[in-house]
Amino acid sequence: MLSLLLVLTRLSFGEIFGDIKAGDRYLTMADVSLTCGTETVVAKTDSVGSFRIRSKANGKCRVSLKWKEQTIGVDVVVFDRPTRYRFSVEEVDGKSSLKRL
Amino acid sequence: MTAEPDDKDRWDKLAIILAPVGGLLTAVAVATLGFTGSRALERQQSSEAKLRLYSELMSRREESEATLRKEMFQSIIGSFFDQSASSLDVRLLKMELLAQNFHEALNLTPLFVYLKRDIAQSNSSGPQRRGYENRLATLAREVVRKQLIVLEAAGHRRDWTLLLSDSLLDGSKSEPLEDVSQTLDGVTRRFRLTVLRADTAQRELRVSLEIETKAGPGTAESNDSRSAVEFDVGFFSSPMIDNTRLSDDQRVAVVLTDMNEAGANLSLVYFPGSRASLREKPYYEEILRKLADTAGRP
Repeated sequence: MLSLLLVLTRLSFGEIFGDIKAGDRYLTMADVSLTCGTETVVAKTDSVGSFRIRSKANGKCRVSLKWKEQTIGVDVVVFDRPTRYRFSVEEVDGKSSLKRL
Repeated sequence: MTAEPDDKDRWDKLAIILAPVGGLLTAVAVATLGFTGSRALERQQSSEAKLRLYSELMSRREESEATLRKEMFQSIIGSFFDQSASSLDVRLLKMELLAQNFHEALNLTPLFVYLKRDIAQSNSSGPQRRGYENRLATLAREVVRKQLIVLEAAGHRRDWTLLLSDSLLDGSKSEPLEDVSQTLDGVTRRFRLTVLRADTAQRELRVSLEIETKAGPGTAESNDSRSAVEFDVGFFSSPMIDNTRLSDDQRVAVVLTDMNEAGANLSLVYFPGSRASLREKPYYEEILRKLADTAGRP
């Protein structure tokens, strides 16, 4: 029973990875987080603008980025296998948003 | 006796000196020309010989590879349908061999669907059946992943995340995705993908793809052409084979890369026809136009 529970818990893990750009440059050392349900996992992009976040759940989640003293985000789906997401910060009429490339 | 008058002027003296030098120079020039000419000829012959050797080696390699692949294909496909001779596990292994070796040349969708049905109807235990289903889905996604890498290297790719709603699951409301405009080899097209229905059990989406091809520069906007196609896309749809043929020997394919109860990841890949499956032949007029384009280049 315990092993079955362990297997099921293991199966529900999710992981996303990719990079974030603003214009032509990649965002390095930027604060990025993944919220799935009530749980939030915080990470930072590395020196080349890439990130990798593991969540304890999969399904509908939200990726957020701290950008110019505000937080912008986009809904994503976390699957049972690692999924690549490439994002771009877009500014329209002075309003920033995070979009999938 | 009187001495002969010195009637030779400077030019005559110069001519006397230069006559043998001129002869010598001519001889040197002829020798140099002959030497460089023969060297150039030798180089050309050597490069032609290398080219001949290379093409001969390549064609021999192709030939032996084709023979090997033919024998391998015949052996796998021949035993594939003999259910009594092999277990589901062995048939899955054969499918893996087929898919990994022939995914660029064969439409494997019917075989994938056949095996999926076979797994569903088998009397294996629940976990074993799920294991087989996962193995088949992983194989299909691996084939799609490989093909996407090849296609996006020569073309353009756009990804979307689709969140599944109840209306999308029962098909009562469609979900349009953000338009994408791409230019490939000077041809600009706008693609609009609309998801009409989602089936999480079958892991399939019913989609509609509208394609607008922009007329060339200096042409009226009314010359833009539009077309639309509707189709199902699932894990077994491989972009090299399951694609929409466009004008100018180009293709577009929609790929389902992931799907669960919460949503799906979709990709659109717009690529040149040269990267499509080996079984697809270009139209004659397209070949002729390409030849004319190549001949016109400096």
